Amino acid sequence: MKNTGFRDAMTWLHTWAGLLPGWVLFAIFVTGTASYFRPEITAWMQPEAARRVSALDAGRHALAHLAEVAPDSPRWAIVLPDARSSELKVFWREPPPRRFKSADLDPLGRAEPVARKTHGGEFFYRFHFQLMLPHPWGRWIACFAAAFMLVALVSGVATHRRLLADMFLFRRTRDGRRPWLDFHNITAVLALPFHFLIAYSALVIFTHMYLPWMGKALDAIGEKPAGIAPATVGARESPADAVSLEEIFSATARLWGEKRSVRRIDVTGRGTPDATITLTRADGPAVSLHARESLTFSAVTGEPIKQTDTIGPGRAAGGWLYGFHLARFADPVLRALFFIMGAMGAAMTGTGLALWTLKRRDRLAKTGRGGRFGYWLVSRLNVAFVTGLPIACAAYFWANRLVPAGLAGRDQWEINAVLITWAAAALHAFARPERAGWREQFAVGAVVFGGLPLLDLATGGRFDGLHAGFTFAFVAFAALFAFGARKLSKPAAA
Amino acid sequence: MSVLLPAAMPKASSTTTPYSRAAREHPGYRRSIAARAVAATLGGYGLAALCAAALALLSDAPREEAIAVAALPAFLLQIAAAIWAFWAPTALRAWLGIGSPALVFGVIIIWIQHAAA
Repeated sequence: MKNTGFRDAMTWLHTWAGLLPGWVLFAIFVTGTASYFRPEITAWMQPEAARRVSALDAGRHALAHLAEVAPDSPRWAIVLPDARSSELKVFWREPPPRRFKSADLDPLGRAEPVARKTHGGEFFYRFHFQLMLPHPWGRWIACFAAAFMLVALVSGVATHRRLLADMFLFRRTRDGRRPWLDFHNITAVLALPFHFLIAYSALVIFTHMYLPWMGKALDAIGEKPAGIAPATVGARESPADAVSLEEIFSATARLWGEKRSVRRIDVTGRGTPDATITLTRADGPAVSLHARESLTFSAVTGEPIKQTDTIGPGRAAGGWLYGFHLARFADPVLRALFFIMGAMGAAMTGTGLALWTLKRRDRLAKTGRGGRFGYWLVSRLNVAFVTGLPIACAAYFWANRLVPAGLAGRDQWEINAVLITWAAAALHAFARPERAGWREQFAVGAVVFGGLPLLDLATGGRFDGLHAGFTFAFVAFAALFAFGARKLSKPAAA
Repeated sequence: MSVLLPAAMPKASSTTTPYSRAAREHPGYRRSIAARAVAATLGGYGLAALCAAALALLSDAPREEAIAVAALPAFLLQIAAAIWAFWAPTALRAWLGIGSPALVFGVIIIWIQHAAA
C-alpha cells in the first residue's frame, strides 16, 4: 500500500512540477537545441561573410583596432575566427565604472564588416538562458525551470512500475492519449541521462548566482582569499602591446601544432610591468571546459609564464558538466546527436503539456468536473508555445533574408520579427478553438519551414555543406509540421 | 506553530492516499498542498543554500574549489527535499524532514563562524 501512495504522490508531483515550468522549459529546449549550431546559424545568416580567414591576420587587425579605441584599458580580449566561425569580436574594459564593451570587426581587416548585421545564433543562445528578460530575471527563471525539471524527471521515473519495459512500449492505437503518453515516455526515457545531466549542469553553470551563500559564508570567516587580485592601472610604464603576435603564434604552433588554432587572446594588466597575454586554444575533443589549453606570456618581454592553474576534483567535475552542457567538444556527428537529444527534450516537454489537457478533456467530457478556465488557458498556451514558438523561430530566418542588408538597426528588426510573429501566433491560439488552432498553426509551420530552403536559394545561399544541412533540417521540420496538420485535419480519433 | 503548519492531510490508508480523489474533497487539502509547495520550493532552496554554505566552510580546499565541491550535492539535496515534501505522509512531516537537516547545517555554519571569529 505504501508503494501505491508513493506512486500517487509522484504522479501528482510530476503533473504539477512538469506543467508549471513547462512552457518556459519548452522554449529553453527549442532555443538551446538551436544553440548547438550557434556559429553555423550565424554563418547561414551571413551568406556574404568571408569563410576560412587567417586567425593571425584577424588577431593583428583586432589588436590594432583595440589600440585605437581603448588605448588606456587594462584588459583586452579578442575572440578569433576558427573552423566553425568567421566572426571576429573584441572586448575591452572601460575605466570605472568598470564595464566591458564589445565590437564586431571585419575578419579581413576592412573598416566596416561586409557581412550584414545580425545576432545570428547568438539570439538563440541568449534566449536559452536569459529568456529576453532584464538581467538577472531570465537567468533566475531558467534556473528554477531547471530545478523543476529535475523534480519532474525524478518523480516521472518514480511513477513507472516497469521503467525498462515502458521504455520500449509504443502502442500505436487509435484511442485517445495512449500514443501521446508512450511518445512522452520514449522521448523522456531514451534520453534520460541527457535530460538529467543537462538540467543538473544548468544549475552548476549558475552556481555563483544561484547559491551565492557559499561565497558569503567564506567571506564572513575571512579566510581563503579570492583568486588573483584585479590588475591595477598604473602609469604606462611599459608598452604592453609591444610583443609581436607572430612570435607568440609561432610559439603556440610549436607547442600545440599548426592544426590547433588559437581561439581567444586575452591581455591583462596593460600598462603595468605584469602585463600578460594569454592564448586559448580552440575547443578540442576534451569535454571539460577547464581542459581547454591556454598559454600565458609576459606581454612585456614575450617570455612564457608558467601555468600553475591546477584544479581540484570539484572544479574538474564542474568544468566537465559545463563543457557537457555546451557540447563544444562535439564533432559534427556527435553534435547532431546532441541536437537530436535536445529535440527529444522539446518533444518530451511538448507532449507532456499536451497530456495535461488530454487527461482533463476526458474528465471534462465524462463528468463535467474540473476547471474549464484552467483547461482553456493551458490548452491555448500549449498552442502558442509548441507550434507558435517554432513558427516565430522560422520568422527569424525569413526576416534575416527579407530585411534589407543595409537597413539601420536591421539586427533588431530580425528579433522584432520573432516577437511580432510569436504574438500573432499567441493571439491566434487564444482566438481559435483548440483543435483548429493546432491544425492551422501546424499548417503554417509546414509552409514557413518548407519555404526557407527556397528563400535561401533565392537570396544568396551557397551550395555547400552548411546550407545543405540547414535545408535538410528545414525540410524535416516542415514534414513534421505537415504530418501534424494532416493528422488533425482528419475527424477526431475515438 | 499551528498557524505556520496547517492541518495534516488524511492519513494514507488502504483505500485513500493523500493524492486520491477522495482526499481532494477534504477541507485541509488545499492548505496542505500549499504548505508542501512552500516546503518544496522555499524550504528546498533554503536547505540547499545552508548545505552548500556549511560544506564550503567545512572544506579545506581553496575558495573556488570549496564552492565547486559544496554546490554539487546541494543541488541534489534541493531536488530530494522537493520530492520528500510531497512524499511525506503529512505536511508537518514534510517540513520536519526539510527543517531538521537545515537546522544541522545552520548550527555547523554558526559554529564555524564563531570558531573563526
